[in-house]
Amino acid sequence: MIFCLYLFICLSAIVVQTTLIPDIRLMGGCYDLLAPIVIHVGIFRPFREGIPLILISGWIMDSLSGGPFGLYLTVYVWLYILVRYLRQFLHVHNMILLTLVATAAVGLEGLILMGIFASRAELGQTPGLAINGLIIQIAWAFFTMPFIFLALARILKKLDRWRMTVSADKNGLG
Amino acid sequence: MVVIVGVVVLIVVNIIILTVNSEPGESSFGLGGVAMTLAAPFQEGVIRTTRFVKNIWQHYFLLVSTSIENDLLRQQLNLARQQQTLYEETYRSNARLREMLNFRESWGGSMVAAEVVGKDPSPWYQTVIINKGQHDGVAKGMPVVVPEGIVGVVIDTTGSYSKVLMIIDPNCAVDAQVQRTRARGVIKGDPSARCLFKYVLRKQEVRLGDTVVSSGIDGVFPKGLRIGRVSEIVKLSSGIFQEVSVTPFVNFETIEEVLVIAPPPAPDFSEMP
Repeated sequence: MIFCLYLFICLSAIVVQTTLIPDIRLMGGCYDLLAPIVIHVGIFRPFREGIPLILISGWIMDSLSGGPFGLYLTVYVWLYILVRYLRQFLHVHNMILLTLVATAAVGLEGLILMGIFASRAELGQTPGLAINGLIIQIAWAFFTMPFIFLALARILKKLDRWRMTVSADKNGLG
Repeated sequence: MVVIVGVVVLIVVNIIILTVNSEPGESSFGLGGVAMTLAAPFQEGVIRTTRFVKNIWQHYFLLVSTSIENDLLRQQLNLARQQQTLYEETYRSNARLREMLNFRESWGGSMVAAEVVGKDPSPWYQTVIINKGQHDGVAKGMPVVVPEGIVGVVIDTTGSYSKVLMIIDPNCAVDAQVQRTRARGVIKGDPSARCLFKYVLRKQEVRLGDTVVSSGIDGVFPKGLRIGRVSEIVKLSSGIFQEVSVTPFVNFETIEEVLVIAPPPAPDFSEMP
């Protein structure tokens, strides 16, 4: 059930990112909306749920993007691994720390994408523009990530409550 | 008898008093003023209360029907606005499609009209998804245009959808030439959403405002399709090429419908002697 919910959230994020956000001028430098979801999955969900989600999301993103196939898949897998590793040392349940980790992840994702982009295209002519874009993405991430994490936490809480009610009804306790 | 006398006296006194007081400016022996002073506050209170109640009645209770009517009118207005927006959208869409149809007819070749349904999730790449694919005859490598000029090239297709790499993507290249002087070069995308007109020889004459069109040599884009206007020229003191920037005619941010150009049918050599 939770896997399906995460999948639905991922798909919604992809659809929003490819339809609504490009048309909003203010959001022109918006970061990849799947990055916070990858971080969230990495921290709060078990490995058996996380990996399929990451693979499916990366695959869809790669299918829609003009970049080389496997680019997003690679980025998400590495972000996931990094977050799983960091989880052992950091108290990532803290909202501020979580936001910082997610913002750093957006920065890292941007750097990886920029590196691959630069290696394929002639980024050398306008590196300032690309770096500027990355800074805007990081700023957006820093200010909006807490809201995304709060929304995710709230959705999961509601789902838990609903599941408990359903199971109580089934057992005749409701 | 006494009663009759009393009544008569009362009538007479009354007439006298009325006669005396009927003159303007005569005082009422101060009684009127006292009475007014005593009564006025109550009058005022009553009047104010009445007015207040009347006000409430007129503005609230009586306005319930007006409010209902207002809601109804608002609903009708919203509906009218929605319809107006729809008509406007249809009107604009009609104008765009007419323009595309004219372009299609003037072009003569086979074309597939498609709608843009999605954009690249990454800000680093410039691609769009269109709602026509292999089932509609769209194949990889087909050029995509709008009446204003070249949009890009199909780089991937599925049954019903295709991915189009736009010419503002740094990975896209179009062999092009200046319409006026036939100076040749290669149009390449740039992250700044402009195009670079590369490999134009220094000796070739290029002026600001010159129109750049496809040369047809790359085998992808037919000859003569509009690309953009020369917006910047830098002639370095060394090197054999000049640096030319081109502003595309197509507004890639607002693009909604496109035409995919099908390749001309392969020539039939079987009938040749």
